[in-house]
Amino acid sequence: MKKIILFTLLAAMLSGCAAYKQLTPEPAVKAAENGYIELKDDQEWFELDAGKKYYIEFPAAPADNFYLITKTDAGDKISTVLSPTFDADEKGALNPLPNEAAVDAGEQAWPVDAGVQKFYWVIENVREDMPLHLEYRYLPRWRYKFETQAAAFRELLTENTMSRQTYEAIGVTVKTAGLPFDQLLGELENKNGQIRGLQKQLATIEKLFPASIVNSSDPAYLDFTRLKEDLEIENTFQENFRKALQVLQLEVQTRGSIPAFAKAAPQFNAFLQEKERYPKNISGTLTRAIDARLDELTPYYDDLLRRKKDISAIDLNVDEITALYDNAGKSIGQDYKNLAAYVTLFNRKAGRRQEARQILDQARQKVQSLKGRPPAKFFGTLTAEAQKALSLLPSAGFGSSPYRKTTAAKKMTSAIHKIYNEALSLKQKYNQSRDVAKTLSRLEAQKQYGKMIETINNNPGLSFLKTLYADLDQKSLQQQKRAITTALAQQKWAAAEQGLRSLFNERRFINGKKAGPVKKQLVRALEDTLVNRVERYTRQRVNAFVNEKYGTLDNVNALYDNPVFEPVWDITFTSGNKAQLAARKQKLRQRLQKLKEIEFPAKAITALYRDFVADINNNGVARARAIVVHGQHYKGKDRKIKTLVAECDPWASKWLTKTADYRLVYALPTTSNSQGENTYVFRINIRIPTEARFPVYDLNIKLPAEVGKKGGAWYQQITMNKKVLKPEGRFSIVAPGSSNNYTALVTPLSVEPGGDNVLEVRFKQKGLKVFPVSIMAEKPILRKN
Amino acid sequence: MKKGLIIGGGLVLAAAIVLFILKPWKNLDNHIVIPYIAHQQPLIDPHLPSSIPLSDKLDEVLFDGLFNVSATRGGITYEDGLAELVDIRKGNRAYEVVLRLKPRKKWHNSYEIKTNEDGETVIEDKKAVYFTARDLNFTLRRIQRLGSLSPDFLLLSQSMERLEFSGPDDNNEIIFRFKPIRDWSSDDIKEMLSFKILPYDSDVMAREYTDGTGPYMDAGRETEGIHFLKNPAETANVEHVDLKPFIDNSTYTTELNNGNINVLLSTPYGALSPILDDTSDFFVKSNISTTNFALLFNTQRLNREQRKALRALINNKVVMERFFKVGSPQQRHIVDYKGNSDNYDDYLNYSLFPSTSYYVEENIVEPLKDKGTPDLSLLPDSIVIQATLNFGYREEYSDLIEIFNDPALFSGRLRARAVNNEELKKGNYDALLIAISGYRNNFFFNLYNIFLREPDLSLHKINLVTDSDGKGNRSFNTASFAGDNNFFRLDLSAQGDEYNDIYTLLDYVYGFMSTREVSDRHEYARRIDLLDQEMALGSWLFSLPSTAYFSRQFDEKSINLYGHAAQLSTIEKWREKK
Repeated sequence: MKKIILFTLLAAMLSGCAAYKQLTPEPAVKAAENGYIELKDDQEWFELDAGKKYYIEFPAAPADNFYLITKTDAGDKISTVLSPTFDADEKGALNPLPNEAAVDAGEQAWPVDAGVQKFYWVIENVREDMPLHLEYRYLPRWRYKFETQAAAFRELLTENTMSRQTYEAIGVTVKTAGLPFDQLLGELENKNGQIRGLQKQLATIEKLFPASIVNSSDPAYLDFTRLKEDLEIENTFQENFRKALQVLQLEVQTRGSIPAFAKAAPQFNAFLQEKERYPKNISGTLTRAIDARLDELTPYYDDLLRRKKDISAIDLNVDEITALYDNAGKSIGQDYKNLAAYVTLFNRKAGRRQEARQILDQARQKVQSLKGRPPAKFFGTLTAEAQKALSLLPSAGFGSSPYRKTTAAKKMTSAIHKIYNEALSLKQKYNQSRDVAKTLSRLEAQKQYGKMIETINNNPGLSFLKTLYADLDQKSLQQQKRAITTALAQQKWAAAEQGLRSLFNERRFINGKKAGPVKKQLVRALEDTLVNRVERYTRQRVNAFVNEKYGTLDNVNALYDNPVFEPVWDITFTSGNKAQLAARKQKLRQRLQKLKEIEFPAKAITALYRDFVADINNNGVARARAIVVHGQHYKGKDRKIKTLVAECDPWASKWLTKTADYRLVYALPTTSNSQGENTYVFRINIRIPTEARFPVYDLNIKLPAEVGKKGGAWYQQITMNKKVLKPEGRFSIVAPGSSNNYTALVTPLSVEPGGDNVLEVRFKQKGLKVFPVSIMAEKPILRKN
Repeated sequence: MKKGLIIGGGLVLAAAIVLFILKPWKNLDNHIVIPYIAHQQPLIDPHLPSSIPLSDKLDEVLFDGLFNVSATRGGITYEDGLAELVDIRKGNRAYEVVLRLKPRKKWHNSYEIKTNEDGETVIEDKKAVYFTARDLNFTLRRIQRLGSLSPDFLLLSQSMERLEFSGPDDNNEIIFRFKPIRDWSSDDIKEMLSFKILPYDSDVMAREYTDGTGPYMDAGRETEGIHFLKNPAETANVEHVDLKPFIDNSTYTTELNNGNINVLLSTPYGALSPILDDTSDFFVKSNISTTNFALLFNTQRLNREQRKALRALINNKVVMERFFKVGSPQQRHIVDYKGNSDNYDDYLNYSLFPSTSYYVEENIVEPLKDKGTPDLSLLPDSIVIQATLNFGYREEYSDLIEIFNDPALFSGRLRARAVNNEELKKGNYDALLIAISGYRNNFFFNLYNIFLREPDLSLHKINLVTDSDGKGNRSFNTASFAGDNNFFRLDLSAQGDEYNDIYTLLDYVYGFMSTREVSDRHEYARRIDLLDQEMALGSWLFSLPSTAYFSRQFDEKSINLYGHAAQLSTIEKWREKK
């Protein structure tokens, strides 16, 4: 119990702390349709304190589509809203409902429904202390809306009701020509707009009616029903008046223009077909006017048709005119009948022709729009369309019509003949195209581009094919190019050259002007390729040969008789003239000759020499001799190669061009006694630049110990420019020995400045090998002491 | 009284004998005293050969080279002078020779020579002037300028493209770039760089040079002689070197014998002296001959055939044997540096290149010894030979004149006489008797001295006229032979019968002297000899042996005179006997 009391006190304290204070009326609010009820706290108005916030709970409406109307005199001293949700502690958001009362209503109309338990009338702001004079009522919305606007609706109807005076006077006292059509139509448009607006508002209110109100005797409901009926009557009148004014105005406006009158026939017919809706003064006035106008129509068009010179459709709807005769109650004459029959026939022919024209044009357009290869079916379709065009076309004549000899009729006949022939021609062409497309498709599948081109060129009438198959030139060239390049790749030189020749002679082209230069360029390129490939393969063959044979030491001369130095193919074709071919072949042969006489020996010499110097005791003599033989075949100008050969040729003199530097030379045997003694030779050409007029040198010849250990007997003969040198006088040949590192000294050796000074040394030595000898020239110097 | 007189007289005589023996007024202790002819004062130019042999010998006394040539018992060696050899680097284009210059070598002008109160000569330090690369550079420029007149130029220009060096670096090292013409040995290089160095502030063309870095310093010239003092910075053993003047060389042996001199670098006749044969007082050393006698023919007075006849007429062996009195009791004995005695024939000459010269010894020139039979009909009745006795070799000239005038010899056709220098210059001779001194037994045989010397023995003027092509190349001008400007009276100022050969001779002489190529020099030598055989420009008589005497005051072992080296090349090593 104590806990209950404590809890209650705590809740009271907490509630006293809420942001909003609830005003609880006494008696409580009643949610029933009623008049205004003062909301008091036990006979007293509630007192509001400035700066505080309040709220009052209102129960749900008794049914949907109700308004809670509230009315106070507080003006802007308080700010209020009605919300279906509310939290006194400001923890939840308010969802203020719209006030749907008119701005100047002096009350608030809050739309409330039965689906919400409570609504909270919330005072957000009290600007000064004041009593709250608040009245409220619940009522259906339709009622509130209608009751608050019924007077205004009625007044609006009155204001927009159209006078019947003019309407009733037309054809009686008022002539149509004198009617202020625009003014009246304008007035009708404005007023009818208002009337229709009112009808829409009533329809909106009517949707709020509860089911129980229909057929009830509720005064507001009855008042509503009457107003609705009055609005309907006025609206119907204004509609009739407007249509009558419009058709009459049309008749007046087409006066002086038969075509305009004829074009207005459908409107006249429509009006006259409902003439019962209008009073006699109006329908009669129009009928009389049309009757008179129809009399003008036939002569007018008769003249027009006789003067017509084109085959365009005649702009006259004879069906409408004939109906107008009927609606106006006027009998139809023969002239009109003839005219109507001709117009009908002419326009039908014109229409068919035009339709056929469109079919043929579309077929042409399809052909023109073609991209890629058209299947045969495509042309079958086109053939069918051409046939359709043919079927559409009517017979050419106009029978016994009085207008059959008019220019237009004749032209029409001619045009139909023409288009007939055209359609027939196209049909045949498309038929032919279908057959050709079939052939081309088959050939293309077989990649017989040349025959495809032939086929196309054999059907010159199908010129569109040249466009569609324009790529055949390129394909044909590419196909031939591929065939040639494949042959080249497989070194089928005969096939490649034959292909090249065929390509050169190729004349089958869709567009010869364009493809010709391409072919020419291609032939040149492939021709170059053929030559280059022949060269390259020949060279590869030679290279392979060289790589295999460069180390050959025996019978080196035979290597140069090997057919690898002939071209792999003797080219006979040229796109140029014979002289050019001969020049080209000559160039090729020169190239091969270069391979044979320069590159091969150079490579062999270089390689052999590398091996030679790497180990002169390993087949050194044989290598050196092989190098010399290669050197005999070498026709190049590379001094380095020649030098290598010379280094290995005992009879070639090696240049000694510097002083004080030992130069290595190889003493080689000039005989071939593998077991016994051989004669060795080396030659040195002393070509040392000098300022001296009478140069001499001390020549140091460093010998292998095997040779040098013989001392003074080491040499057989030493010559200088073929003159035998003997030690006599100042000239001496100092013997080699272990004390001087086996160096023989030839001194002083006089040489010819700028000339050849070939020192040849011969010595005999057992064995067949290479002896390295180092030679150094020193210049003697002047000495003081 | 008599006894007293006798004793007194004996004492006086004994004292006189002691004084005569000891010669205290002739005390040459710590002195090297060398004689010279008073009117042939030596002028020292270390880069040019002189006509006075002593001049060139003194180069070794005053100057250092980068390296110095020094005689040893068995030959020659190269010693560091102003530099030391650091490295020889062989490159593609040159041998780089790296030397380190000695940084503390002082020039002689770093000292002042004074006489103190006691009349003694003292040496005081002045501000030290050190040898630097600048001095080396100056010397190279001077040698370059002297061109073919200087043997050093020929040595250097054959070795290097340009006479220059790079450096010195922080280590005072310099680099010479030698031409890659041979595998340069260190001795070769040191020989090429043995030219003497002069201080950079010297006059490029001074009359003589006295400021050096050598073992002795110039101490002045007085009437009683020329004095040199030991360089305080060097290690010479003897303090003084004195050159003492005499009228001529005839008394040199007597002066040595009398103790007035203690070194005699050459003897009269080049022969051993009988008055110096006491080996307890003197010792003798020989080296290679540097002087020869010749008759130079006047080409304007004798035509070629006459000259050939004259050459054939004069038998030099006869002259020489008379000269040395071979086979007589007065025979003048000789000895050479190899120890051979009385080998007179070795000194007979058959070419303008003496037999003891490098060119003959090395068989570069092969003189024609067979002169044929003289055709006296071609010769004038009297062949006038002139000689001047006042410029050395008086005794030798006198004897030779007497020999030529001997009617028993040379068919009595020769008329030799002594003339003064002025007469000689006139050229009124058919042949000129002359001693050609100072030739070296090396490549530098000075042909200018024979062919281009002004015919005035009081001068040593070489009449070489050259032209330049503007690119540094020079060629001889024919004005070099102007008739009266050479002993042979060779003339290229006008065309004559022998113009072409004379022109060729000048070409060869210039080629011989100017070439840097040893082979060219050899070939020119050979050609000149052959041309001379054809032109018969002179009669080449014989050479004088070179014999030097030294007082036993010196330790014989300290003096080395190996054949090729200059006699004074080791003077700083000479020492007195203890």
